[in-house]
Amino acid sequence: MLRTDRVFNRQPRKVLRRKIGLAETVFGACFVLVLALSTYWVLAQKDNFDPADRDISYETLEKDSTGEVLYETPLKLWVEPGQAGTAAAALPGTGIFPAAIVGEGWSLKGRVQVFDVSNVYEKINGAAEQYIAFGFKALHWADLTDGTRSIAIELYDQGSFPNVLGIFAAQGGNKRDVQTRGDLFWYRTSVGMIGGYGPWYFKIAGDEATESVVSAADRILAAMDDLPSSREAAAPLAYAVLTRGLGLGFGDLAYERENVFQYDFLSDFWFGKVPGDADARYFLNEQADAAKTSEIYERFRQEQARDCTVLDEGEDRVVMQHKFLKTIFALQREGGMLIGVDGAATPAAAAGSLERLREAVRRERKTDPEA
Amino acid sequence: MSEKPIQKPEYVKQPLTRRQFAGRVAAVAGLGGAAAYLGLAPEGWPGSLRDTTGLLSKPVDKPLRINDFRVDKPALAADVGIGRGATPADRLRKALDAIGGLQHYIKPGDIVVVKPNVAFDRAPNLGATTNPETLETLIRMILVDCRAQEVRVTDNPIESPPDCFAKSGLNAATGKAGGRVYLPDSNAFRVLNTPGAELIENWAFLHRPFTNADKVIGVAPVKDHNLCSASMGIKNWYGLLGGRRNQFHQDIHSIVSDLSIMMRPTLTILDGSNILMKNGPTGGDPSDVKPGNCLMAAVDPVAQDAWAYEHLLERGRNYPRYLFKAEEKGSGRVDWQGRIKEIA
Amino acid sequence: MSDVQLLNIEPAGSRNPGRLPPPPKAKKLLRITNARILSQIFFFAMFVLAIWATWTTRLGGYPVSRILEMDPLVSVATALATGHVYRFLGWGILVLGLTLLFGRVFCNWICPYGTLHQFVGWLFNTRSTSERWKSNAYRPIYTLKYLILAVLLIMASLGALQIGLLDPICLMYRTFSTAFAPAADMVTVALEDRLAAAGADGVLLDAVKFAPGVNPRVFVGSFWIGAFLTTLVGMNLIIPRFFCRVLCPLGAMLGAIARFSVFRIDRDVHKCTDCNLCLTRCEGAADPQGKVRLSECFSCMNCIDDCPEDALRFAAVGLDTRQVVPGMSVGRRRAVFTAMAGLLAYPFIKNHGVNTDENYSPALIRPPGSVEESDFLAKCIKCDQCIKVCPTNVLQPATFEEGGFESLWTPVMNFNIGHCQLKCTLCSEVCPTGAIRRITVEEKLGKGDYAAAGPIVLGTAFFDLGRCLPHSMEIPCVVCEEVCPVSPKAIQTKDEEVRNVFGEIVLLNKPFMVPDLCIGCGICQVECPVTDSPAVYVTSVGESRSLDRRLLLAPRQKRAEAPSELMQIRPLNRT
Repeated sequence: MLRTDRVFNRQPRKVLRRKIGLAETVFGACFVLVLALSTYWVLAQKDNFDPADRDISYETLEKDSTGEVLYETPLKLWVEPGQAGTAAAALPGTGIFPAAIVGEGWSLKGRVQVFDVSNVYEKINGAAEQYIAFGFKALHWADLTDGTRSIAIELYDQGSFPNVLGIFAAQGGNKRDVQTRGDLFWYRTSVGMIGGYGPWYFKIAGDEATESVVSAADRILAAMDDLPSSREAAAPLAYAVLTRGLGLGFGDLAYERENVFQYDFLSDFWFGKVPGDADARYFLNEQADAAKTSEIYERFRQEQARDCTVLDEGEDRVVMQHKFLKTIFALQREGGMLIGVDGAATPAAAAGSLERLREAVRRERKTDPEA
Repeated sequence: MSEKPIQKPEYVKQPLTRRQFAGRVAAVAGLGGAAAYLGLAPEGWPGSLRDTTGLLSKPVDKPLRINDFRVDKPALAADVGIGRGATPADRLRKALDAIGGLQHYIKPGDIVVVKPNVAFDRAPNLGATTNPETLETLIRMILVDCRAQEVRVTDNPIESPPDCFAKSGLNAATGKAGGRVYLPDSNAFRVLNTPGAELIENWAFLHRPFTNADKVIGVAPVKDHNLCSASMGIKNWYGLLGGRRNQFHQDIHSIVSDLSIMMRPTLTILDGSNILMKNGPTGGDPSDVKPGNCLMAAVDPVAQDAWAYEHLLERGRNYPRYLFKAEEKGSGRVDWQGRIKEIA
Repeated sequence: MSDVQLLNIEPAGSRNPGRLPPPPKAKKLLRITNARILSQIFFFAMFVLAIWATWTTRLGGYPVSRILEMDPLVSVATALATGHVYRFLGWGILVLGLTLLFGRVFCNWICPYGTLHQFVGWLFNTRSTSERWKSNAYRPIYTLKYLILAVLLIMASLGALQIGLLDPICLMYRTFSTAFAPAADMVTVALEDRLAAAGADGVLLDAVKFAPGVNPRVFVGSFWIGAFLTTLVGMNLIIPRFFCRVLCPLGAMLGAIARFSVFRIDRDVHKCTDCNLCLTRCEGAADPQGKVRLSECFSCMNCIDDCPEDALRFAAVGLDTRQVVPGMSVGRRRAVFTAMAGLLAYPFIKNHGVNTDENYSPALIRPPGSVEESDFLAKCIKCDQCIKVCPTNVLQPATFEEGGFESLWTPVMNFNIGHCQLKCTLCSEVCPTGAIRRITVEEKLGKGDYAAAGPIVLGTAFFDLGRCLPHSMEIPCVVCEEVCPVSPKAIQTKDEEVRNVFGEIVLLNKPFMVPDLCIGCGICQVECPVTDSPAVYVTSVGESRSLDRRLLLAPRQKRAEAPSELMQIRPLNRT
């Protein structure tokens, strides 16, 4: 049996034979050579790894592609217990949106989301600041889908029409090709439109510029007219005067909220570019009552008289010329409104513009007796 | 009392000497004392093996931290650059020029880690993985134009790593361009500590390619994703994590926003050459893919993802929630208006 | 046999003045035993290279299965079991030819297992010379291998292939793939870690690893596989070349035909002094000192080196026919009992009842391209090459649970460990016997020419709804749907909003199976976060290789495409 004290074999290899034939030696040499060549050949095979050897060609995949789209069960929304069975639960409501935004194959995806000042960051984050600066009150967001395409409607309640115009201008809207229809104004983008109505600033954006999306966007736009709009928040008289009465285009309008003409007591002035005159512009200001208007009229007149020479003065109007710029400034009191022309070239032009403005105001007042 | 006779009188005893006895006592005392010390000495003492709470033998992996790899963009460059062209090289150059040029970001002698999306073994033009032509061009630009020292390409795919790297063409592309692929070996992971992360404050991370790295660039395709709506630039960093990543889907938006602070890359590149419009993120059928001619490079990955979601995946402005969470965590701004530059 | 303890090897007759001087160094260097040692080293190295190259990124030009394909027992047994010779198995003719020419050279010049036994036996051999003679004497137990061979071949001819359990090449491939390669990788990884900690490049040693770039590989039951081989190798310390002499069925087969060999060991009686020195290192226990047993001799040539009288030679001409025992010395009784055992073994195994079409384990999921189960069991030689090459570590040697004794160590998929990579067909490439038929990626995915047949389906996934997070716990998840590789996905979701117990409204994507599209790849099971007992798991029903184990009658799209007249329901005539 084995020796238990040793681990390894220590017996040296002793070759006892004496004769080694030539054949054996020759065989040995040849064999070694064959082994060496075989080793070289095997190693030369290398791994030659080419992933394309064990792959499927793109053409085959394309040929056999079914392009199949499986039916997706629509999202089941959470219905608060107790409402199941009521009409409210049957169709997810459109919230503040007019019901006409759904239809013709388009339906609401999910529910209408509403955000106020405290949580609008969650939806639009950094951009929220701009809206808040223009009097943001609430954001209503709706997603519509017709199965393949989708449209997102963002509706911002900015509180008042001037605010809407303000944010619209701040986002570059008034440089675009703006169309109006009544109190509704908008401009088109490639996938929808951006515009405003009363205190509402809206953005309609589809995901693709296809016909179905564009026609759906048109339909939604038409429905925007039915948005709730209070008297106070509606387009003010001044706006109507400038657009309807004087026929000015959107790009010709401006609104300044504070520090108008660099006077801290003047605020909420509407401006409109006078056609034909590069520098002249109409301005209007509406106050709650005539007394307030008179007060502001007096003060305005006094302040302006510092830099201007008075050309003509009446009970309700004054025409001045700027001492240095030589432009004509005209101001008139019309009941609760202050109207005027600034930057006219000649007194005659100023008078003419002012007259037109007065006419437009009277006309609008007639159509809108509450103004 | 009879005396018993002495047995074997010729035998001479060899008694233990005093020295030997003392030696034995000393040995016993020494060994006993040492054993007593090791076992009973209070925990903090040097050499003591005592463990009163049982927690000392728990293996402790000292967490790792990685650098912030961001580089300030040149003053007049945009945050997000878009390049349109016929070839990937063309688009890449234009997109990078729009944000200031690659040489502004990669300096000579840099070690650059490029992280493509190699998650699956799909063919390159199925949109599930990074386009190998784009990767090859980028690596060449880094090595030749910017004279970087080394480019390391890495990812931890969901499927089998060697197959994914091979069949997506990214292994060959890296080799041809002179980069080096780092596969996710078992011992290439260490726990990474991301301060401020909501859910992945300590998580296994593929750290080996990042040893001594100077710059990091992510190169991702634009893909649809059922759970988190889209898988684009920020979600690409998911591929650097190890461990049980399948738990992430329980709160995927928080995770993706955590990814945006875990990794602050030098640049993120979104390749819109094959956009996976549906059946993402795995794809597999050519009908899922929409070819495009757009490539984006950005220093603000949040804005980049937002623009890509709106214009490349054509999903409109209902951005995925993770973008807003990422903005809250300070990784960028969603509102891309005015911060992009397109070169066609 | 002399009992004298020889303490030095030089025999008494060396002082004979007629003795020749020792041969020159060069001739000694090129002698036949050195050639044999080189051959052993070469083939062992080729074997290790084959194991190393059986990996997804290395499997290019190397013919990794060649040693298995050269194994004549594999060729003969599978030919008996299936009636055909698959792909490269014809190479077995080469070894048979060699044996017919030179005797059992395979056992000592080529077989890597023989090399391993001889090496271990030599290294730890501390016997004295006379102890060596005793250990190398022929024993009747050495006929056991012929009986084992007979039983295995009888079973094979009836259709139950079990040679893989004891075939030396299969044993080596299997043990190296599942036990030694992972062990070597453990060492390499530890070394790599030390080097990386010292600042060296961490990927330095990738070329040495058997499975680089992936998680550490595990193989179910590798403890037993490794212990099996190690025990057999350890037996060399008790009986030299224990396995080769007592158990090896391949050796038995070669021994059975070695009796016809052209070349053999020939002893010149007139020169022989009966010193027994030729027995000192006889590997085959072939009695070179007496009548040489042709069926036992390994042609190791050690006896030629040891004979001081040059009485032994390996030649083909001038052979002394009286000094030969050609046969296997089995004996009639033993032969009859063996035949009975072989005949009984077949029905015992086949009627064991754990792997029939009515009663089969849900865990018996075979690799893609596998033939139908009864055919598979007639072809699989349990070489486990497919298990070695599998890049995701999903293929595992079967235990008794998946298919009983008959399927022990055959490849099955374990989707807790890995998944079947979509475009990988490596297992089908390396299978030497066609148990996994060679397939292309097109066939696996069911595209191109195979579009009508559809993809290869390994099994079907099922949901355990009680464990599924969105279904039962109001927690969003949907990893299974995300990773499903087919397009359109075989897991679809029903989306639902609920108010969870914490009052939040969460959007749950609740997954459900579309079995018509599922290919059973198992990635859903691997990725399911409920890792201990996954909420979505794949079982073998629905596999496309077997008609009897199918689940669906036909994929529903096909039915929708071509409604037959019979399916139209005619409206009742209501008047």
